[in-house]
Amino acid sequence: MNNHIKFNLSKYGRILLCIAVLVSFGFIRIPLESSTENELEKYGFRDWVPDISAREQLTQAGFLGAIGGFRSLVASIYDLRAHEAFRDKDWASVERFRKITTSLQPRFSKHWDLAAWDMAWNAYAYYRSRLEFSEDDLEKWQIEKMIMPNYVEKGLNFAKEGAKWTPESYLLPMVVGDIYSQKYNNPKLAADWYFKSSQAEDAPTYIFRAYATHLAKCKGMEEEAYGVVSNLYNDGKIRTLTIRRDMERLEDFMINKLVQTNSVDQLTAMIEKTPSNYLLNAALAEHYLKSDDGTELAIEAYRVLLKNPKAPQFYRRKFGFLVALNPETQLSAYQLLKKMYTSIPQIFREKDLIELSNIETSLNVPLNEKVIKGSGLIND
Amino acid sequence: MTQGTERSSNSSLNSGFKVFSLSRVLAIALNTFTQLVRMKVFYFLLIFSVLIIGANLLFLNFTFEQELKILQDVSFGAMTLFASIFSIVGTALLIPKDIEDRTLYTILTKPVPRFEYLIGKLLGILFLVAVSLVLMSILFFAVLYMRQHGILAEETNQFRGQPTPEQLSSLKETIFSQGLRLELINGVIAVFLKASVAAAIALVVSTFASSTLFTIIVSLVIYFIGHAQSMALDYYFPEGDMHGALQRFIAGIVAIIFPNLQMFNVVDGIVSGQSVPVNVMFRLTGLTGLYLCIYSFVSWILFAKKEL
Repeated sequence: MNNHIKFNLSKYGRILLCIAVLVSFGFIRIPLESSTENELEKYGFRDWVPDISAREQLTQAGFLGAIGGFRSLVASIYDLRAHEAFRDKDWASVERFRKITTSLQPRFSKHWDLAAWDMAWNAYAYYRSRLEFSEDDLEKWQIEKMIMPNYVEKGLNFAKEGAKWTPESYLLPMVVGDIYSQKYNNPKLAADWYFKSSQAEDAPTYIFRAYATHLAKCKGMEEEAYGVVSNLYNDGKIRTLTIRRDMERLEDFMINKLVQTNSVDQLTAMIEKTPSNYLLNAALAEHYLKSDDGTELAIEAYRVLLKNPKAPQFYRRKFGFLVALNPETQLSAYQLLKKMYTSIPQIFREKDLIELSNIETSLNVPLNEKVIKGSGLIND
Repeated sequence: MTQGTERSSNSSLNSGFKVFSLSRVLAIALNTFTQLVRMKVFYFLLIFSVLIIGANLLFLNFTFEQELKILQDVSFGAMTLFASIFSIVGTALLIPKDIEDRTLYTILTKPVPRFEYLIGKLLGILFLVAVSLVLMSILFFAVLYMRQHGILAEETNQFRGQPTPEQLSSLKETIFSQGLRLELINGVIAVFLKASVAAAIALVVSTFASSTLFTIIVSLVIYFIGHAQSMALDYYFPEGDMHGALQRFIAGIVAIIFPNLQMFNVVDGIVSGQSVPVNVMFRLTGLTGLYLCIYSFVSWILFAKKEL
């Protein structure tokens, strides 16, 4: 029955035929497999290279697992080991395990994020608390000058390396920005990285706001920052307290610059040319305020300014306080400010509340009618 | 019956016989599947359930990204392991068991070519692996679906006050992008393709092996070499670097003879959030088809004249 297909080779003949088939197949499939591997490499599926250094990092079982198709699982196991080492405050092991997880799965951004977090925050905080309790000066010096900066740098390196591997994600550039902002107090570099992060497709809106905030802190970049912050402010979708404060601070800067570079006549001429630019009115008011009898003129300049619909609300507050300088109009100014505070409390800074409280005292406002009742100050 | 009439009856029998019949192959495949199911192989689902439920419950104090990743890692790891073991051990058991039960003789005395018998056996085991993977996937996807919704509820509760629709949709998008998604199906298919090649390897080995144990061990060794061969190639044939001629010759032979199973390892990337392009999935499927055809052919060469 099995002779329907004739097959009359000897045993050795069959073995030779098998070898010939396998070898021929090998020659056919190797180019196909190579091109498939190249495609996979192009799409980031071949990031981990199982070389000698990888073998040294992993245990034998881990290495076999990693080359046997369980790389992600092995990475998770090392992630758990890193967590265990973190609980034991064994930072050297945490670093070693985090290096393994990130090398096994470099495109999983959370591995880098956790590595950066463990180094720049957890290890750093641990040594800072040791510093507080240490009584040995040498140890204190070592911790403060060597160990703590070293861990921040390690965290930064993890985050930067992760940002290279995951260019499509906002996460790691944001972490780098956080480290520059919170650990190095470098708003310029923080702003650069927040900007980079904000350009990612998946970036939440708060990252661009963080960029604007840090840019606003950079000395010498106020004009650029004003452009960014005023766009955010005028966009008005999410007008946070920080954006309001930055906007006011930067507008003050722009106004001072106008005041320093232009005379009253020049400003008046400029207002005639571009009446929509409310900053010119504010600069004019500032000029008037510098002269002894310029308050009324400044109030008048503010009145013009407030007619401009583009002018931010905090100019109303400024106008109110200016009017309150005159004892005759102080009461009406106070009522205006009180109304303003009830409807838009965000435009009042801490120092404004102190000033408002002073006005209430000078007007002898009864306690139950006071806006500021002692501890009612809000934080900036 | 005269000699003449006997001849004519034989020729009429032969004229109705097809060299290859899909229905015969399917009958053998179905029979193989039933045979394996009767071995109570599906009990492994209990172990799989315990594993993924354990992975789901044990890591609750981690970030949700880690939680979802661990769940996917454990599930895919178990699926790969079970599928590969089923393929190798199942295939290694088939021919010796048929000989032992004498089923093989009953089949081969019927007009069933040995080639069909081998193809039927292979398809039967692949069907079993496919069904197992479908069942495991259903379980895995259900647990993942529940977990991602659980995480969403937990994260929503952590908001101060009621989250805005924008915040909620952003949170949902972040969590769900790392949870249940279509891309995972490509991972399951890749696991199946690798298991299919492993089954074909075991089929080749079982046609000349002297025992089941030998088949399993040799197949496992080939399975392991299959994962490491691309590494050897990369090491001995790096661009612009030349190693010793003998080493390169050996590495070349290994690459030519042994299958490249590393190629099917796309699950690691999928869990990280990467997508396998459709053309790569087609290539992998095509290459698996080639492996199955060639290995079945080699098995037949070895099995065609084997004395049973």
